[in-house]
Amino acid sequence: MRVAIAEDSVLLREGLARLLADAGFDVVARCADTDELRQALGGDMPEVVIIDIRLPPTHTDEGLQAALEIRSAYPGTGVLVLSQYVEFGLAMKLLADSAEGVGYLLKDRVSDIPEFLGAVRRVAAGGSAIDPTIVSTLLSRRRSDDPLAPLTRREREVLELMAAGNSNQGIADHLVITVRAVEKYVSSIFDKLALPATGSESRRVLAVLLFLRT
Amino acid sequence: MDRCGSSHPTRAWHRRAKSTALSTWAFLAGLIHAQLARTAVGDLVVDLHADPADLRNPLARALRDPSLSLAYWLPQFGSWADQDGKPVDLPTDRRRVTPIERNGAHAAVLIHHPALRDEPELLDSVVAAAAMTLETGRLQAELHATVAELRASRERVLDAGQKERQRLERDLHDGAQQRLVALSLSLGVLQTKLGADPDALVELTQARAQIAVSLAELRDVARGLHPAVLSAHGLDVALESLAAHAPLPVRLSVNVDRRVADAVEVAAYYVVCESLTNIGKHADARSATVNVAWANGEIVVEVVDDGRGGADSERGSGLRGLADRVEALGGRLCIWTSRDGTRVRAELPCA
Repeated sequence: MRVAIAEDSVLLREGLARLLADAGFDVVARCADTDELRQALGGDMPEVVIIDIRLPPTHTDEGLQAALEIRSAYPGTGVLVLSQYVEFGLAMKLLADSAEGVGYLLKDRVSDIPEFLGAVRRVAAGGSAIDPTIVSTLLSRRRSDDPLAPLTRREREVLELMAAGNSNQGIADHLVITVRAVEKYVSSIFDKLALPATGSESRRVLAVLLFLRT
Repeated sequence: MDRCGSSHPTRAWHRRAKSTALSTWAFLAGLIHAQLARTAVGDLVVDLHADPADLRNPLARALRDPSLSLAYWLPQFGSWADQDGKPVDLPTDRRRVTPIERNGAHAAVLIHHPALRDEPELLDSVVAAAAMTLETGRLQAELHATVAELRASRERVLDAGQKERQRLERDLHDGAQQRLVALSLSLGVLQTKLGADPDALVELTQARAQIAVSLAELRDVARGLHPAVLSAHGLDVALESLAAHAPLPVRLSVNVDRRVADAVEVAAYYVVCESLTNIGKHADARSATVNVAWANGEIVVEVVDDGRGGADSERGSGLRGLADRVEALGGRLCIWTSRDGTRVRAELPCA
């Protein structure tokens, strides 16, 4: 699987490259800014691009702009955005109308290697990886009319993992239950929240995030 | 009698005929009425008595020079200034300038049409009639200038503080935070290579957990210093995140189609941030509405809740701080509070 990296911190860029190479990825580009990334992406597109959100020269929105460009120009390429902070507003901008082939994670997540590699593979394959803190923040709001009140504790756990982009198999692995049980929880959640069934695992990410925002 | 003069010469004067010769002729023609000029001085005294704050217009009428302007000497600033305390450059043509002294020192100058030089008596009597009021005007100009200077220095202090916080956030981001992430990645890699030594595994996991806590703490510190998302992505994205973090449901509407000055964005952001925090802590509200819109050169921020009210900018240091921040930018912060809720409204000029 081919992957490109755009990260201005040398330590992190080389660490990521080694980690991915060790895991069998073909690291086709290691870029320090978006200009280098654009040059590297001229020909054969990689399956996934990992981009730091703050890149030179201004360290403001260069990384995000590059991510959005790649998403619109190369829909077949997954984009995984890494950041020191995760912002709900940016997640919404990045997802826009689809969560397919997109990831947005705290940089800290790279240290849980199996989990991180799973996220890279998922995004490369057209799935999503949304940082769990985004979902947990939305869930932790104290509200008088909690729309999630009808959910059981288990269903909340499933909802959280679902909104982060996990597949049913992934959720099953996390909770050590069967995929069949996950499917039941998922359909029960959609029923209780009156959400239209989406079928696709990445489409339900956006549905749940939009529901939680209100 | 029409003191402004609606006779032909003065109308020509008003039109500011480009030909100097013509306007000079018109001016002299106006002065032919000597009786009129003497009466003008009398009227000036009456005018000044009625409204001592307005000095220029009566003087312009008395001297029949619509182009007349006044400049006061502000020793504190070492410069000439108009009625509002704004710096003024004197014309290089000395014939246009009549100095007015008080106690042997500069007090003010009249800037007028050069032809008035030919009427020293008229000038002298008008200046004498206006002398007392001129000193009041000068003091007023000085006051305006002092207020403007204070406002500017408050803005500079705030701006310098903001820039410093922004720099610290950036240093944290590029330094400590980046290194900790890299360290944590190394530990993660080490963990995958360690094999099956359970003790080592426990220690590594603990080390990673500690780094995770440090990173979370640093993130909070950095975010408290400066909301990086705001300067990077603008108000709509930053406020969307704030609303998502708020302890109650927030209806958010942001209609700002442009980036405005950093200081204005930061102030608008903190008005929303502080208001939502207050609502969460004190208001016992069920929901809140946040409206932010750009219109006619200013950003208007409104945060409304349906709680029990009681907000007070004089008691809560948070709201007082907000008011300071908003006022330093020449804006206004208003708070209405009743038993049905609280409305905070900030108007931030961003010209």
